[in-house]
Amino acid sequence: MSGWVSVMVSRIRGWLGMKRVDEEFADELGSHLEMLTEENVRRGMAREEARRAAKIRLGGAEQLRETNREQRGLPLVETFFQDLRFAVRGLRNNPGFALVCILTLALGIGANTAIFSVINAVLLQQLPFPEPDRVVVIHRHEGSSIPYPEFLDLQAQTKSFELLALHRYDNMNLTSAGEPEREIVRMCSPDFFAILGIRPVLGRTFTSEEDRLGAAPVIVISESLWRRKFNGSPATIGNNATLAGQDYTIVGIVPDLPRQFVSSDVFFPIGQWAEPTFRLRGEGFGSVGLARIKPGVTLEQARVDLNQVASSLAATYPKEDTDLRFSALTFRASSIGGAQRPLLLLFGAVGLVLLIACANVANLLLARSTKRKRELAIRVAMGAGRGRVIWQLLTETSLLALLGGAVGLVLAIWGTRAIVAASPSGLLSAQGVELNLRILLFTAALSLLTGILFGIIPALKAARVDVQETLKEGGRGATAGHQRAQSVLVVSEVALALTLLAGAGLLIRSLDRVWQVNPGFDTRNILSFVVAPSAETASNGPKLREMYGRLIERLEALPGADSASVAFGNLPFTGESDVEFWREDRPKPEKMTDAPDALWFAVTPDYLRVMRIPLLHGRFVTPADSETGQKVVVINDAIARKVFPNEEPVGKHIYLNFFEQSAEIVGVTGTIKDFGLDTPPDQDNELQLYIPFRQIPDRLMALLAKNSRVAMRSVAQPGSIAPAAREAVRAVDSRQVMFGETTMQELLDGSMGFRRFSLMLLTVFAGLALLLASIGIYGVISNLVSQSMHEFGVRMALGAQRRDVLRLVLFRGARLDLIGVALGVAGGLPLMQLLSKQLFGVTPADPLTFAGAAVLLSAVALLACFIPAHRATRVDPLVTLRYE
Amino acid sequence: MGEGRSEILQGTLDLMVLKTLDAMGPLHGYGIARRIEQISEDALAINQGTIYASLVRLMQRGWISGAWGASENNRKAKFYSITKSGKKRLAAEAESWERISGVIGRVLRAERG
Repeated sequence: MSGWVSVMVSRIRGWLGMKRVDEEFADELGSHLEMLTEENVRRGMAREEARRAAKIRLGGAEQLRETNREQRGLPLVETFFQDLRFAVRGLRNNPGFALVCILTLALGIGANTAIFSVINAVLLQQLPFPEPDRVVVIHRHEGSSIPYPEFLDLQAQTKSFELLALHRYDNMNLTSAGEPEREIVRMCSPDFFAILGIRPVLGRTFTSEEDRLGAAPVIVISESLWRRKFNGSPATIGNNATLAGQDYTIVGIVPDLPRQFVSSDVFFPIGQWAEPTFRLRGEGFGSVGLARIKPGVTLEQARVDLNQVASSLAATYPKEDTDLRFSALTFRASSIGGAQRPLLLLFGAVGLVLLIACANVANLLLARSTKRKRELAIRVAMGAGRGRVIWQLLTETSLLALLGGAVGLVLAIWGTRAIVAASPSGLLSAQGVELNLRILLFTAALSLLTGILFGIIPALKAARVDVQETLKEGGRGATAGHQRAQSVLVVSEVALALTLLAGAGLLIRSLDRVWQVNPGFDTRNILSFVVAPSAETASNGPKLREMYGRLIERLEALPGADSASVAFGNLPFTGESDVEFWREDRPKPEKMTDAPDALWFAVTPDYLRVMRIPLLHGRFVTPADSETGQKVVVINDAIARKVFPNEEPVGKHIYLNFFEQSAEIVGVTGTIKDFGLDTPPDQDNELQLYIPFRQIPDRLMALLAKNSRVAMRSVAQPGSIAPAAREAVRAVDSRQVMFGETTMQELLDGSMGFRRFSLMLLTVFAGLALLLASIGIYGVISNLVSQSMHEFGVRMALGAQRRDVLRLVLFRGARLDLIGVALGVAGGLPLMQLLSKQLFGVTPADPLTFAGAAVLLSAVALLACFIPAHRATRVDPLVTLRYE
Repeated sequence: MGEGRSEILQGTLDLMVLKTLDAMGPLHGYGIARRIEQISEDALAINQGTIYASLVRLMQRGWISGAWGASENNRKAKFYSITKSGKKRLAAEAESWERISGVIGRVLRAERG
């Protein structure tokens, strides 16, 4: 309503010019009074009396002026500023109190802001393409890749997608531009760029004609590669580049996307890939679908659509596609992966820390308000409504909270940097967690909320002050209510601190248990790296076998080397190449999904020696197992138990589907934890088999050579042997490139990365909680002691010893602590169930952990009580009996 | 009834001020108060000062405007006059009152019958 607006406008103008308004009104009243006086004089009164009567008839001038001021200005704003000034003065007069409060709040708010920055970066991140919620990532069966013919079927048969693309990545050597460099090449459908909103900086992206076999070879490169290798010259378009020995025409330059999304420097049309097995329906080659949903279609509808196509494919191709299902996740969900739950748990944990900080500050306020009671009583007596008093107190606490928030923000900036430095690689980047508006708003809102939270109870309590009682001299009884409130707060703090300590304890024990798991091989002193053979060798089976044979010989001859082996297919903690297989002496399974599925390792004879995997039975691969000899395979313990229970597997034959050959079992090895130490033992996950790498069929050799590693055991530190290994690789063929060096220990540590990270953060929070809770107990007991000096004096005068007083104080502290611990255990037990997914080897209700946390907390609490208790014993009865 | 009464009183007073200014032309605070006292035959025994709250309200809504001028005795005084929107408001309120009093009148007469 416009009426309301004009009133506001007039009030604002009045407020700005209040002094003049007030003076004018005083004049107006003065002139009114004059006229009234005149009237009275005309009626016959004497001047003096006329004036007096006029004043009565007009009304109290001060009151009228006050009313006028309130009407014309912004009284709320006035009172707010008044309160603010008062609050600032109050804090300045009590710097110690203010400092402690602000620091306590800063710790709580700062920690929360730091975690929020992380959550903002990981879970709420801004994706750099339009309508990111319409972009979905499509896999087969929860994580498996999609074979190319199946993708073509999806393109033809689904109706929910505006754009659909398939992509996979591969490694190739770029040789035509300076030093040979290994590139991550992304093979993709033409729509890939459109889905992610990538527009070429120069030139163009692929057309659909170029996306088929036999089309002219073209590539698109990234901006950074363009600047690095081609000098950013516009003439690059139309030029050639040689990748893996083949020439491609560069047709476009695209901007760099942040590494965590789709890190590639070279893009190539996936439809052109000439690898023959690519067009078989059975193999996915790591290809992943990416699509943009049509406007108006929901994710659920798209999923239903995909699975309808899946059912129809399952019916058409019963051999490969039985039980086919697709999964579609939004891009955001698929890049967050499993990080959501632990991060949210951490956010909850740090929230508990803030609650403890609030309880501490509330206690401090309660203690202080005891001292301010007279002042407040006087204010109420002078006419301030209780509402005003509450507002004023809330202003004070809000000021404290905002100051705490400001300091907390500074702490958070520093803390966030520390968190990024300690985080597992790839999870966080420094830019992602930078201070931005959202984080600032979060901090401000949290500070205000905190202020209200810890301020409301003390304010309400203070406003309920009994004026009569307080203004009488020596009113002491009213402190009982405050003490009770303080005790309640402290007990809650202890309970929360116990919960956090228990949580941290559980995670620590889990990590410890994980480290104790036997990986099945000796992880120390193993160096692994990838060799990228020259194009000529890479495409030729026999040449590859010969090259690797020479390489292994050279590597084993190096000083400091114990043994070396080729590792095609997989290496523990990396890769997931699997093969379906079945027994030759039983009927072939009807459907592929019924056949057991094992991780395969194509190796040279020394592999067992490199890895120190135990050989349980029979023999391992030998040099005699060459490409011309009989095909052999070595299975692991898990396969023996699952597929050959109570039988002798050695001598039997199995058929390996991917390799399309049958092999005789010659030995049984132990089982390794390929997927990480904390994977639960599951027979199906642990099927592993080894074949001689020389027996890989020629037609697969070139393909598999791309994902092959070499593993070496060194006598000393594996890092020391790396340069010599590189030399050896070059010596065998100068066009080869060695890259991707890592040690098995690093891989193992890396697989533990997130677990360690969560543990570290939770431990820091538990530590903060412990610190704050013990400060809280110290404060309350200290206060108690101050209040009870009189009582102690009496006791000691009546014969109590110093140690009796000490025991009394400690007992009071212990009682608070024990109640808090009991509550903490009662509340913590169900709460720890939330952690159950993160635990390993311990139950959420582990008694040892809870007991340990309780003991630690109580010990620290008692220590905190000791200081005031000691002070109590120093009491001189003569002094205190006079003290009031 | 106490609370409601002061609100009704507020509204009524505002209305009377508007009517006064409409009928009498520009007046100062004293003049308005005197006039209202006369018309209500002193039934509304309030302090004259309370009129100023009413004047501020009316001014903030833009229904009256104020300007300093000279009174009969050549004394400095602030004169208030009704504005165009004030006249509209007055007319609307008057109509509203007529309607209400008509309805109540009919109700009361019906009771007896």
